[in-house]
Amino acid sequence: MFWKYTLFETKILLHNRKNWFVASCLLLFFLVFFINSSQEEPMSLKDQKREEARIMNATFDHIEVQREDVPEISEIYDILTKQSSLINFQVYYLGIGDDSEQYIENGLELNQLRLKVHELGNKGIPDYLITPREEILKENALLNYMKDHKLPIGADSFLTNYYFVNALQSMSGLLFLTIILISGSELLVFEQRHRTLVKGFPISFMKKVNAKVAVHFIYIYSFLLIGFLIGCTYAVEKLNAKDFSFPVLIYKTGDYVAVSTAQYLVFIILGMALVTVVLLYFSILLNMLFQNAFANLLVGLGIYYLPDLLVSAGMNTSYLHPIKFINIAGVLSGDLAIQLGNSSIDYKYAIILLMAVTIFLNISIYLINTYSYRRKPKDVPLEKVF
Amino acid sequence: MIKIKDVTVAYKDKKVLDKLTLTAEKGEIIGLVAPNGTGKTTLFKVMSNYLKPNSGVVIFNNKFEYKTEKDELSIRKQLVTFPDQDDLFEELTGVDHMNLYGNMWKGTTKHVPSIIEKLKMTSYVKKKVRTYSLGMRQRLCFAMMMAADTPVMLMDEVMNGLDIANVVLISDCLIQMKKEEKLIFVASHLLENLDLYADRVLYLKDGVIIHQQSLVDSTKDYIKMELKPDEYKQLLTDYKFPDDHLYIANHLFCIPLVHMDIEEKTEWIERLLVYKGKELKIGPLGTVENYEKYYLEV
Repeated sequence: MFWKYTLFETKILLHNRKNWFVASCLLLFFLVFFINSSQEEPMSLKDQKREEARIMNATFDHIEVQREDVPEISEIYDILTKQSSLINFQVYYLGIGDDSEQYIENGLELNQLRLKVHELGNKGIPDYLITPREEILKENALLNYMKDHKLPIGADSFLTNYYFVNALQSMSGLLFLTIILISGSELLVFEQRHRTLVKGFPISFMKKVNAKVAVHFIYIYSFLLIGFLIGCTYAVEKLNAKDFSFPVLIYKTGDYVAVSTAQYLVFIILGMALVTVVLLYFSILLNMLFQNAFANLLVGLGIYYLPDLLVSAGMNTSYLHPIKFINIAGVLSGDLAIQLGNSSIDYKYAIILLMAVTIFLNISIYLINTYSYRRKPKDVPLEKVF
Repeated sequence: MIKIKDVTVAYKDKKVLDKLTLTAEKGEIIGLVAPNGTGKTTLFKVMSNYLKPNSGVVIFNNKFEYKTEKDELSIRKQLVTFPDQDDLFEELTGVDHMNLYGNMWKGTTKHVPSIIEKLKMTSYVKKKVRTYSLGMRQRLCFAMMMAADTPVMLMDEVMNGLDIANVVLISDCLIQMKKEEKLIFVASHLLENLDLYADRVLYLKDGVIIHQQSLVDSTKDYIKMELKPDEYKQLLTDYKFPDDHLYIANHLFCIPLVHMDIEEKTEWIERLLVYKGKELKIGPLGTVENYEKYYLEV
């Protein structure tokens, strides 16, 4: 029965134009994103290092005058001199020198010195010229990863993860939430238009719900993956983004860990699968409560922004944080942990909580349905909605 | 098979069903007759648990009530309701709809081709529903019920929008389904048509069944003749009438034969022979006559 009902749901889904519109968006998003990205040249590693050298020069300008009077600043000045030399050598190793191992060694030494300057309190250096501690730790993690995996480094080494990370970060979060809320806006509500036809099916409500979620999950997820593959093909062919072994940083237990681009993609794709399931059950719940397709979208988006609104009102919203885990790319990058001020928010933490939310949503749906059998009519008879 | 016990459906001051009680057994076709807005559809909604009544219960096979989802599913496996034409999926074909009902209730679609043939739907059934006429849609709704093939069927306005040929076709199917021991409730405004296949006809008024007419073992025969009011008045002054005689809706004069001996019967027939050109019938009151009696009498 479940299988036959699932087939029926599939047929209905395929005949719904709205679903084809959503599918087209998912199919084209990554391709359009990569085409758009190809218009702007990403900053190469060499240029980044040259930029660092320029910042270093500006820092020298600031502290040169003070170093005569303050001994701590003099010490910092000496460290900065070493840093400047290391950066210039890095530029050399990326170019004519062509020595990845030396580049990495210099980078690790440079970061040690930067951390030492932090320990000395960055005295004399204006705030806007200080490299943040998180950035230093991030770069350290990347360099250590490349050292451990003996990865050759070149000016375009980070091109692949630059494109893919940006694309997935753009899709994850609000955009993905909106797509699923639109797609799931009529999961149950559409039955009201065919009430006498579908209401009497001899199948339990939870089986019906699970069939709907399964069918919509397969459809959304398949088109998301196909769309991503189409985008990948374009990025590999046209943007030369094919180095999947290079590292991407992810946030883990309060620290930054480097993983390969391929591993990052697996994390984010699995994470988005769970987010899809959560949002589809969430749509079912909203359908049950509001019985309106637009309400599904509006209330869903409202709830997503609820933690931000409450924070701006000065309220503690840590219990609402799981709502924000929908942005799984933000969880992986650590942006969410910083934004919400909760260092324990990492991938594992988010996945466990999203699973708990799925179970909570399932229990809520089950209880609301069970309650409809226990409700006793008072002044007016009760109409069974679903 | 189905017991409806003291069912009340009331919206504020208006009682649609008022402690309605009814029992129905398998192999019966029960007609439900009432003017619009008198509770036929509401009764079907209560029977299929689309509407939870203010009070009262519906019991299936002396066992299941709509108290839990498990019980409801046990009932649903045995019961199908007639879908509204407007609720059909415009983008699906007739076959899709029939397959859906076949799959959901019988778990198979093997019987669907024979239904299509029986209901003469071959020419259009593979086209999308949005191309169907009113009559085609109605036939499809009936075909879906046949595809579900459940022991209990609730059919609201099953003959709506059908031409005479299709009314006959569906009536034949209903008779066949009765032979298969199905319990079928039919709410219809085609009153004469009900006489063809219904075992009982229930007349609903003010939320209760005001009359239950058995079409199988009806023993109360009448002499029936169309009379104008002045002709009826003349008869009243000329002769003494039995107390239970009827003059329905100011046009149908009916004298019960049940207490008359053969001489009295002959006498009454002779009295009515003076009305030349009018048809004299002997038999029980039909659905139309009862309908007029209960709903059109001033």
